Order: sequence, then C-alpha cells, then structure tokens
Amino acid sequence: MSHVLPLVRFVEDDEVFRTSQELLLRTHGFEVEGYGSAQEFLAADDLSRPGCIVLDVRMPGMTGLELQQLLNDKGIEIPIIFLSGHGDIAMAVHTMQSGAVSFLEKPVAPRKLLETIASAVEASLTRWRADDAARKGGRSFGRARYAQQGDRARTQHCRGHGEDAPRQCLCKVGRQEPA
Amino acid sequence: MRKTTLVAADALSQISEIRPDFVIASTGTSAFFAHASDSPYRIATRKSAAAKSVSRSIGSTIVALKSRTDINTLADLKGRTVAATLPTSISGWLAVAGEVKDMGFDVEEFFGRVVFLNTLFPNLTAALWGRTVDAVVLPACFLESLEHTQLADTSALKVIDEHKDEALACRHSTLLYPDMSIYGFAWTDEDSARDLTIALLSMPLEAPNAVTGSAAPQWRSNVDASNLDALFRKLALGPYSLEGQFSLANIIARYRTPIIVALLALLALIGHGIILQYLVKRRTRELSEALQSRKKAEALARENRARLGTLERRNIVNQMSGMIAHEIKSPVGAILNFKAILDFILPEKTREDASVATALSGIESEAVKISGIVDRVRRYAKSQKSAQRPCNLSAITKKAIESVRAAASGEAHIRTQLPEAPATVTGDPLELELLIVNLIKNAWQAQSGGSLAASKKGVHPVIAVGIAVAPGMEKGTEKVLGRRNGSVILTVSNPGPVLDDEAFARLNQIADSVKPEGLGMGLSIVRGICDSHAATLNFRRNPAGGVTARVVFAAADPDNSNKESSAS
Repeated sequence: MSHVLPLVRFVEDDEVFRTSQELLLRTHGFEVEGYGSAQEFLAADDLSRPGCIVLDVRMPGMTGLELQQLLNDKGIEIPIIFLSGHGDIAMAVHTMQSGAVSFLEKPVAPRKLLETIASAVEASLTRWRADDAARKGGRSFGRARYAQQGDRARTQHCRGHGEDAPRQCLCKVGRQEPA
Repeated sequence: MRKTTLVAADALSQISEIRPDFVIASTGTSAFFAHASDSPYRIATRKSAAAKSVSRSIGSTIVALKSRTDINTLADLKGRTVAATLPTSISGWLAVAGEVKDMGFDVEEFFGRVVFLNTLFPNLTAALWGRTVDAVVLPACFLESLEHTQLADTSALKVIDEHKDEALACRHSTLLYPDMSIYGFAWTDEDSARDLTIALLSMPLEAPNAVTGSAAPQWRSNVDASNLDALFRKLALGPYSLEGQFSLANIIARYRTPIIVALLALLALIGHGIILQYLVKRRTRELSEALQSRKKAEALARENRARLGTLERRNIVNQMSGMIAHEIKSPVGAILNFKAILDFILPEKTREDASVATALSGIESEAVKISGIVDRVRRYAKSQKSAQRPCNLSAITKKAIESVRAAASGEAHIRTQLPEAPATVTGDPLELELLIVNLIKNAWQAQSGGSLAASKKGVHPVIAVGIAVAPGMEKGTEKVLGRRNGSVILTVSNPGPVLDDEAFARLNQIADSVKPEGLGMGLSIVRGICDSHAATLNFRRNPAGGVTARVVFAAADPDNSNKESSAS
C-alpha cells in the first residue's frame, strides 16, 4: 500500500489567526500549509494530497464559497471545513449542500477544531487509500469501501476518548507523531 | 288708354291690386320699386333739357334775401326757419336734407323750423319776401323760370352754397338726381312696352316752353340711379325707412338671412358653450383624478423610500456587526488557539502553577467574553432579519425598479430582460430588493458620477437589468449538490465609459473589501446580502463601456417555490 502524508490547508486572510491555527495543528502532529488567499492556494497547493481545507468564508478576491464551487467544478474531493466570523444559517446550509464537511463559527474552540480536522483528514485519507487500491487493482472497489466504513467507525470510537482524543487517534489517521 | 292716379305712400299695394301696364313715378316713389315683389322694370327716365346727364337731372336751390348778410352758406341756416314744398320731394326738400346730412347734422334738429307750403309760387316766395322764413328751398331751375316769366323780382335774392358745376344749366345748391321714370311690369304686354319705349326715346325735340322759357324734357333709358339710392339710404327713407321697421315681421322679412345666420351662430355659440362646459368639467375631473393618482403615487414613493431606508439602515447595522465580527473574532480565535498551544506544549508542572493556571484561564475566559459580546451584537442584527424562503427574483426585481423610479421621480431609465417563468431563489425578499436597488444605484452613480437626482441634469443613462436561469444537472449524474437546481443569474449593467485596468481593479477591491475603510456602504450592503444568500458577486467590464455587476444565486427547488412564490 502506498504511503502518503495528509496535508491540512488553511486558507485565511488574517495572518495572525492563520499562524495560530497552523501552530496549533503542528503541535498536534499535522502537516500544515497556510495560504493568505484562494488564489494563492490554487497557485501553490498540491491538490492530489489527501487531508482537508480549512477555509475562511470572506476573503478579498475569491471568497471561500467561490473557491468551494471552483473545487467542486474541478472534481477535487478534499474535505472542506468552513470557518466564518459571521456565518448565518443560509450560508451554512449552502456550503454543506455543496459538500462541506463542517461549518464552524469563529472563534471555534481549539479542541473542536482539532476534532473536526482529524475527522475530515481521516475520511480523506481513507478515501484516498481506497481510490489508490482501486487504481492499482490490488483490492476490489467494494472492499475499499468496506475499509472506508471501518475507518469511519474507528473515528467515532476516537471521539469517545474525551479530552485527549485527538492525541490518541493520531496513528489511526496516519499523522506524524507530534514533535 | 286709361289713366289712374296712385298715392305715393301706398303705391306698391295699389300696383299689386290694379296691375297697371305702366307707371309714371316721381324720383322719390321709384326708389321703392327696387325692392318691390312685382319686379317693375324701368322703361325710360325723363331728362331735363338743362341737364347734361339723365342721372343728374334734378336738384334743389336754397334761396335767401340778399339783404340777409348773416346767411351765406347752408351752415348759416342752422337753427333758422326754412320753407319748402313737400317733404317727400327730392328737388323740393330731400336733396337739401341730404346736404345737411353730409355736413354731419341731424336734419330734424339742424333747422330751427321747416315749413312745408305745398306750392312753389307764390307761397314760398311770399314767405321769403314777408320774412316769415330765413330761406326757401326751390327745385333747381325754378329760379330761372321766375326770372324768365318775371313773376317775381329775383334781383334781391341770392343762392346759398351754389354748386359750381356744369352738370345742370341752372343754379343749384345740392347734388343732382334722376328725374321721374316710366316703369313696366311682368304682366305688361311686351309689344306695348316696346312701342312705348320706342315712342319715348324717339320723341322729337320740342320748342322751349313759351311761358317758362325752359326747353322740353327728353326721355332716356340708360339711367344710373345709384346716387338716388345713396340719398335714400343716407336719409333712411323709402326702402330704408325706419318707420315700421322694428316690427317683428319687418325685421324677419328684411333680415331673414342675417337673422338665420345669427341664430345659427347663436346656436353654435350655445353648443360651443355647452361643449366647452362639458370639456371643462371632464378636464377638471381628469385633472382631479390625475392629482389624486399623483398624490397616491407620491405617497407610495414616500412609503417605498421609507421602507427601503429602514431596510438600508437595518442592513448597515447588519454589515457593521458583520465587519466587527470578522475583525474581532479572528484575533479572539487566535488568542484561544495560542492558549491551547501553550496548554499543549507547557509541561504539566508549569501548567499546574497557580499563577500560570490563572493566566491561562484568564486568557481563555476573557477571549470567550469578547466573543460573547460580539455574538450579542450579531444576534441583535440577526433578530431583525426575516426567515429566508423561496421567492421569485423576477417579481422582486420589478418591485425594486419601481422603488428606484419612485425615488428618482420617474427619471430612471431602466431596461429589463426578465424570464417569463419564475426565477426562484431562497432568500429574504426585502433584502433581495435592497440588493437590487443598491446595484441599480451603484450602476447609476458609476455612469453619472452622482446621485439619482444629479442625473437629471445630463443625459439619462439606460441601466439594463436582466435575470437568466441556468439549468441544473440531471439527477444521478450530479456531482455538485449546490447546482442541482441550476443557477439564477442577476445582472445589472451601466453604459459608462470603458474602464481601464486600474479603475476596474479598484472597483473589485471595493467590492471585495471587508475593511470598513474600503467600503462604499451601498456595495457593502450588496456584498453582505450576497454573502447571507450564499450568492457570488463579481464585476465584468462591458466591451462597449461600463460595468456589469453579476450575482449568481443557487436556484431554489421549483417544487417548493410554486406554492410559495406568491409570497414574494
């Protein structure tokens, strides 16, 4: 089986907030990349890597919603977690309908953020593995989906570990050990 | 041949009754024939031998005593006593009356007294010699006849206002008129008329009267009687007489045509008056209705402006709170993240230190408190928003355009291209109306560089507002959930100048800006409403100049919209 390190992308125009998120995630063992705008993200990111995108809704230039639409149009299936300073229900419903895995309102509790990201990364990784296996023909598509279900079940198990859950679940989502 | 004498005053009725073949009428009487129903025609008119023309054959001579040095002209006779023969005789009186009239006087009032003495001689001359009158009126040539016959001494007499013309070889004081004529009628035998005419016109010249010395008169057929008619008209006599003129029958008979014309004119005037009154009433009613409808329109415009103003203020609060949230919540989130990082990286022993624990806890609790304050502001703004529901964007666009037109007093030139089928989106109808109003206002200001009112001074720009519905993907093949029902695309274009790159970049920057200092409040509202409706907003330069603002909504499920579209 191929080995890949998932990548957590932050697309956020507030540099200090983005740095704090990056630092938080890195201390918890995630590989993180930060972008100041949607255009910067599209220009520099390796979209083939599994992981997730933590996306600010309102940014100069292309908004988070527009970036989501663009990625959908391109068939990019990296899970998207929206972070909004003033999101409302209509916006949340729209983003979720368009495939976002979560819509969080700032300031999100660090634990909640870590849990959500861990869950998204795990799902992305599982999907990537299944697709990788399917591409190589080593496993049937049906079995890959079975494995995906198993990963999802394990994720739910992780959530039951309380305060330290993210740290305990690291191995299951394929992260590096925290430095 | 039978001869009958007719009375001049009753001549016309007697002619109708007797039906004579011929009538010899004096000059005065003949004037009536021109208006008689029996249509008499003139056969011949008598011409005095002293006259050069048959049309100017008779007249009057005013005579006074030479010793009366105070009487030299007709004007000198004003207020004096004058004697004449007959009041109906041309040469005996009427010719003088005509002269008085020509001087601008009323004949009845000019002379002090007028005495009619019927016979010329000796009554008239006696009155003059007896000094009972100041002057006498004699037929022209009578004075010459007196001189010839030597019946009276005329050397002591003088002619007043003698006309020095050669028309008549006698002294005269008045204009001259035709003498008596012979008339025939429709019933007169043509041969008799012919024979009489020939006889009259071919009468041999006779020797002068042995007594008077005057030559015998002749007969002529070529008579111009217009001067006679003018005299009668001047004196209101004969056919122009005022006597009995004011009886209803006379008036109707004489002025039938003018009366009919006047009556018709009166009727037309009355009709015109009635029509005018009706038109004035109708116009007044229409004006009143127009005034009412204008008042209603103004009230509606005021209501619209007030409603949009309220909505705009509400949205400004919403946008301001959104900006505050955006600006504050990120730093607060960063603080919480940094605190969580410290929690994670600090050794457990350090974290358990009372001071460190208090500091870390204080950081977190204060950050949460700040976040709570922002949330309360946001909740206040959100509490004023109505719930979103499926609504027809075309209907909302029409309403928004009405609002803009009302605000611009009908000066707004807006062209629309809206689909017939409902363009259903999920949203707050009032907010969507405000969105469209602001887009149109921005388009207007971009073109005119001023307010809606300022555009009145120049050429009116035509703002184009359009809605297009893009179809969604078929179920089963869909990958993009948000577009399963397609998109509704609202465009608002203004025809301004071609924007250069710098100006266009600035426009996008303003539209994209989330910073308070970068916002025109109109675009801020637009941006905020787009965000709250999960719609995308962008601007495109038109090839021919100007800018098109483009808002793309996700179309709502038509199944839900049908029953709720009426709500929009």
